[in-house]
Amino acid sequence: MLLSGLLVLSFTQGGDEAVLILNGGIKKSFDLVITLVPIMCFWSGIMEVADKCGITKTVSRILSPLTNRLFGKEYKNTEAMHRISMNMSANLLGMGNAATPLGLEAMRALDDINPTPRKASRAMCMFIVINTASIQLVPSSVIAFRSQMGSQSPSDIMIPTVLTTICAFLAGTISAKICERFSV
Amino acid sequence: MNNIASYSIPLFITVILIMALFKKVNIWSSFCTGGLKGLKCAADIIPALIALVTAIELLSASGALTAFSSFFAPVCNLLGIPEEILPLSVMRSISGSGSMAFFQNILSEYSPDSYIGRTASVIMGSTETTFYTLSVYFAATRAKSLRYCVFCALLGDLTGSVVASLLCKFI
Repeated sequence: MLLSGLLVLSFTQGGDEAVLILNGGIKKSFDLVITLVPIMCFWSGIMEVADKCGITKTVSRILSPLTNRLFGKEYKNTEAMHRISMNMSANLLGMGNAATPLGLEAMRALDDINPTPRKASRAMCMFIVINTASIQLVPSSVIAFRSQMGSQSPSDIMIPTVLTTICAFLAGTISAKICERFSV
Repeated sequence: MNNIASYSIPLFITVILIMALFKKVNIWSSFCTGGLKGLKCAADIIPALIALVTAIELLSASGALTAFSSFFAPVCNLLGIPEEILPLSVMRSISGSGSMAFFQNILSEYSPDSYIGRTASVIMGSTETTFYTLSVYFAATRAKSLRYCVFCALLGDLTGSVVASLLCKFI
């Protein structure tokens, strides 16, 4: 990806421009890292507290009818499943900032129990697909932006947005389930 | 409705802390242990993250995207995705800030209450930046092969665009 992007860029816009964009990209990743580290630190801390008083177990029990269907019974009551449940509830509540660190921890936990470390496990694929479709109940930033742009009814899009998210979620998870069957 | 989302984080933290007080958990020391774990996890993924984010940036600046979307225009017409929306729905999967710029353009060119404006809003609100999520999450693992994951994630995005274009005809 790095190579092809660099080649195409140097070819179409000249070497100077390519280096400029490369540096811009590096700077952007730096900004991302700088914001990500304290957020991860903070939320992992909060989650540790939640673990200690048993909240994580409760949440994961509440979500278990859904998660068991998506991931299969073998992950029931594992460390990874607790993390996944917390990530899903954060997404549902529209807490994007909190969802990412929780999701990363879930991926780490899934990685630890992956029998074939070089190949993504089924649960990893399913989890990523869920997160890329991320069910969000209130698209607040889009609504705010619409009213800023002079929309008469900025929250008109609420219901279609929720319906669309659900459809995208279903398409993603069902296709992942089908692919699970056919891949070795 | 906006209020629910903006209160969810403070409420969430408050509930956890009250529960912890109630069960007499040592909040300070658990917070610090957890924080250290988070820090280690973050440190592990930084190199992979930098490489991937830079690569995505290069790719989206290279113009490969516009070529890609003009190539697929006929297929998307068939699926009912309007041509004006197509660059946005492709960009939505690749870059958050990039798609925000596209979205801004669309809203100022067409009105936010027009069909195009509404469809764009629904697409913005309903899907995530797929490639960003993919790279950040897989940076945390040792996996080299992603198997069918990219395909399924993109299928979800495509479904989102199609459904958005369809539903917005009715409001």
